[in-house]
Amino acid sequence: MKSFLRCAAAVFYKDLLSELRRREYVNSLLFFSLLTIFLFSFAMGTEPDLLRKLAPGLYWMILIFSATLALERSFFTELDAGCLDGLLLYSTSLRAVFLGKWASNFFFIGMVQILVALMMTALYNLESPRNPPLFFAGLLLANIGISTLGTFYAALVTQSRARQVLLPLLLFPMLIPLLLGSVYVTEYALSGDPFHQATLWLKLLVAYDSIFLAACFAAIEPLLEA
Amino acid sequence: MMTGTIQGGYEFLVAGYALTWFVLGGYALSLYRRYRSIR
Amino acid sequence: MQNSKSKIQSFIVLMAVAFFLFAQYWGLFKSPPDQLMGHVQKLMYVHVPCAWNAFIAFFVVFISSFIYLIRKNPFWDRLAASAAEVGVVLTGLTLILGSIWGRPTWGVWWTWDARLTTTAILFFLYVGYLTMRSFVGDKDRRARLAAPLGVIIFLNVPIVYMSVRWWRTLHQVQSSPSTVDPNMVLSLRLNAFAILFVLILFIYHRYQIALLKDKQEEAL
Repeated sequence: MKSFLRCAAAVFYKDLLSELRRREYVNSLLFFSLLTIFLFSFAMGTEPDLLRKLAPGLYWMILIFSATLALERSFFTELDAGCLDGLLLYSTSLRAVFLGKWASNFFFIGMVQILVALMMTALYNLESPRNPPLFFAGLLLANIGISTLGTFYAALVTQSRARQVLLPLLLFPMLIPLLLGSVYVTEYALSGDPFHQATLWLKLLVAYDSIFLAACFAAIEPLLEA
Repeated sequence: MMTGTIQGGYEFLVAGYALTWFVLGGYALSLYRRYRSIR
Repeated sequence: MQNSKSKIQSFIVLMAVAFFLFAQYWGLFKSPPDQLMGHVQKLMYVHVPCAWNAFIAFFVVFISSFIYLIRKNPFWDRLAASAAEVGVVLTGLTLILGSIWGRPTWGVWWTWDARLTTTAILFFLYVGYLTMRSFVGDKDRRARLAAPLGVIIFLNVPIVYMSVRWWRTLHQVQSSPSTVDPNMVLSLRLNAFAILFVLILFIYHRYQIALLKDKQEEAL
C-alpha cells in the first residue's frame, strides 16, 4: 500500500514539476480559456442578461474543452521521450501510475476551473455565487469525474495516430451526465438554491463519480498492459 | 397537443418502411460482399 | 461438410427473411390504426424493434468485452466488434425512423425526448468504440484496448438515461409516445422478434468476416 502511494505521488510530482518549470503550456491553456470566453461574447452578443443566464452552461463547455487539451497531454511527455514502457515497467503497479496521472490532471483542471470562474465573473459581470459551498462542491465533483474518465481515455488513445480528435470523440458522450449535473449545480449555486433543487444533481454527480472511479481503476490495468 | 385523427401522412409511413428495408437489406448486402472479397 | 453447412445457413437466412416480411405485413395490414395518429403510428413497428434490438446488441458488446477481460479469448473480442457494428446500424436507423415518425405526429423533426436523446448518445458512444478500434492495427492490442472501453461505455447508459430524463422533466416539453394499445402489442412483438432474428444473423455473419480477417492476418 505504501509503495503504491509513493509511486503515485512520484508520478504526480514529476508531472507537476515538469509542467510548472516550463510554464508555457499552462499559460497557453489559460489563454485559450480566456480567448474562448471572449469568442462566446462575440458570437452571442454582449447583452448582460443573456450572458448571465447562459453563464453556467458556457462555463462548463469552456472547461470541458480546456480540460480536453490538458488531458490529451497526460501521457504525452513519456510518449514523446519514448519512455512510456519504462514508466509502466518500473512502477509498482499500473494503478499507481493511473492514480499519479489522475492527481496531476485533477490539479491542473482544478486550477483551470478557478481561473476560468474568475475570468468569467469579471468579463460577464456576474455576482459571486450565493451558495458558495454548493458551487465548490460542484466544481470538486465535476473535476473528479473529468479527471477519472479523462485520464482513462487519455491512456486509451495515447498511442493512437489520431489521438487529438479521438480523445474528445470518445470522451464527450461519456461526460454528458456530468455536464448536465455540473451546469445545474452551478446554476443553483449562483442563484442561492432556496428550494434545494440541486440535491438531485449532486446525487447524480456523486453516483457518476463513484461508478467511474471504481470502473476505471478496475479496467485500467488491462488497458495499460496493452 | 393533438385533437382528432391525423389524416394521411402516408408518405412518412412509406418512407419509414422503405428506409428500413433499404438499410437492413443494404447492410446484409455489404456483409455478403465483404465476406466474398475475403474468401 | 462445407456444402451442407452453407445449405443450412442459406435456409436459416431465408426463414429469417420470410418471418421478417410476414411480421412487417402483419404490422402494416393486419393491425388496427391508432385512434389519434392513424396509420402513421405503424412506424412504431419498425422504430421500436430497431431500438430494442440495438440495445440488445450493445448489451452483447458489454458482456463480450467483460468476458474478454477475464478469458482473453479472441472469440469474445470479435463478437464484441461484430455486435457493436450491427448495433450502430440499428441505432442509426432508429434515430432516422424516430425523426420520420416525429414529423407527422408531433410536428418536429427532432425532440429532446429522453429515450431519443439517449439513443443519440448511444450512437455517439458506439461509433466512438468502432472508430477507436479502426485506429489500432495489431489485433491483440486492439482487443485489449477495446475490451475495457466496451465495458465502460455501457456503464454510462443507465446514467445517461436517468440524467436526460431529469433534464427533460425540468423543461416539460413534448411527452413521449403514449402507452401501447393492447391490440398493437402482438404486431410489436412479432416485429421485435423478427428483427431479433435479423440481429442474430447479422452478428453471426459479421463475426465470420472478423474471423476470416483474423485468420488472414495470422497467416501473413
